[in-house]
Amino acid sequence: MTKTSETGRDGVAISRAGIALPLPDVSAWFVREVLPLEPDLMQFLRHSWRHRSDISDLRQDIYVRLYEAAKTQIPRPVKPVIFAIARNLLIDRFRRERIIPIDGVADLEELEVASDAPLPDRTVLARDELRHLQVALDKLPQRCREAVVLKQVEGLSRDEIAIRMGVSLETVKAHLRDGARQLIDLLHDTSRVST
Amino acid sequence: MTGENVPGLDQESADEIHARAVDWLLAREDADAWSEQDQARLDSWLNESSAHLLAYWRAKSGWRRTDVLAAMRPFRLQNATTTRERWMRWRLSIVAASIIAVVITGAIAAYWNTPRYQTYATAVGGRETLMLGDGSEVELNTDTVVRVPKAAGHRQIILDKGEAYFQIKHDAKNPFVVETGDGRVVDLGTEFVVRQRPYDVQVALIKGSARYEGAASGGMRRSVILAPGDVVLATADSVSLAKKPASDLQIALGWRQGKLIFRHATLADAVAEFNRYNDEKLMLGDTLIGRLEIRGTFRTADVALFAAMTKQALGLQALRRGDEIIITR
Repeated sequence: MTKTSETGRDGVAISRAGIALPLPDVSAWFVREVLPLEPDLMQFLRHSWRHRSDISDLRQDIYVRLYEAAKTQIPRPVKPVIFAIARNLLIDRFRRERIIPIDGVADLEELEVASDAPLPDRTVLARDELRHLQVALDKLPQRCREAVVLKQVEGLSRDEIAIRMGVSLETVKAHLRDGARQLIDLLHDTSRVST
Repeated sequence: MTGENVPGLDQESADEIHARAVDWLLAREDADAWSEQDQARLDSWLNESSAHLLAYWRAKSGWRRTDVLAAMRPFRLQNATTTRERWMRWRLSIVAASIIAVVITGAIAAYWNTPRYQTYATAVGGRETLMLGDGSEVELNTDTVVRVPKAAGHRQIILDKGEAYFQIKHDAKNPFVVETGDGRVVDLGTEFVVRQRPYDVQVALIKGSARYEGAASGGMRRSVILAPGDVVLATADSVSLAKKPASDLQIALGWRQGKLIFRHATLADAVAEFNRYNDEKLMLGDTLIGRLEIRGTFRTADVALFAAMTKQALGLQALRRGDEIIITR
């Protein structure tokens, strides 16, 4: 569907010790097997944690913990592991914040069931992907969407986009940056996008 | 297991890291401006923490998913100049003819109330060949109206509407002239195709040589000599010239065999083409699907087949409503 094979291309030089797998393999695993779980993970986090502003930090912590574990051995299947990490992290947070999570506990109990649910279908048909992109694009602020469409659909350079939109190059960069940030979040976290 | 193995997490939120990762990603796509030093700075940023690295992978895989949007690029945007853009659009829209039996409507009618001329017209979906007294041939495409002088020896045709393909017997002493709105094409031994639309005229030269003369102003006409592959686009106040490969011109002339040939055409252009040839009109449910790209060769009357193909190849829906077929997602 997408060029996941390229994701390891940045080939970051590995300076850390004890890595069992070359980094591109971890990268490919992360993109192919972990990121598709993000909608479920985010849904779970939003349901279990009342502070919305913490959600992306929680997600990041979970990914980092999972990644650190994967550097020694890639966990397969990954779904039970990522939800176990999520649960541990939330318990840590609950303790730290001295919260008795009445709703949260129930969710944690249900987690075992959730982790047995079938994996999302990764072989999304191209038309679903396009429709999904369209829905995500529609959620962007209008100027950001315009900039992203001119770049990704029409293939214009940033200078050309500036001319087309009648704004400065700096403004274009800002629109593209904001648009790309939101779009990437929407594409990974499909639970926020209902088609 | 705490967040302690994530350096700087307390100072830098996940959203900030994501934002930074996107900045790197976009900067890196700008290949001209990307230097060795930039790469080194990116590498060192990625090495600072696992959070950076993961955020970058995540941002990159998300952004790559938007690459399929390029598949919806309208074809004209791949071409550099306005002339080329317009020609491409025209090329897509002149690819046509009909297998429907030729219908001449209004032939020999005093439709234009100009008794000096004979009027010939084809219906929507029609195609007709006129054999002129001098041995020249004129093929009329769908929905086309021409006037031919009744008097012998007047080598002239007026294209009032539509599209026609001319194969002209050359006579240097008495050149053949095709009048198109304000401008005209003067034959210098040639085959060419002319399409008249409400706001512009296109002339594509296939063989030989011809002269295009723009609208007269102050008793003068701007003129340009055309060679094979040259395409003129003339509007009320401008004339531009582009060059096309012979193969493209032949695709554009598919109508002479009753075919519509699409190569990298957008769905919107293909629909506009079919609608030139059929009373049963295709409509698009939204503009986005109009940007989908299609390929294929169809008979001009095969509207239903085409609609079925969009269903199969693009996963779209086709609904019949009266004499319209609506294509939607």
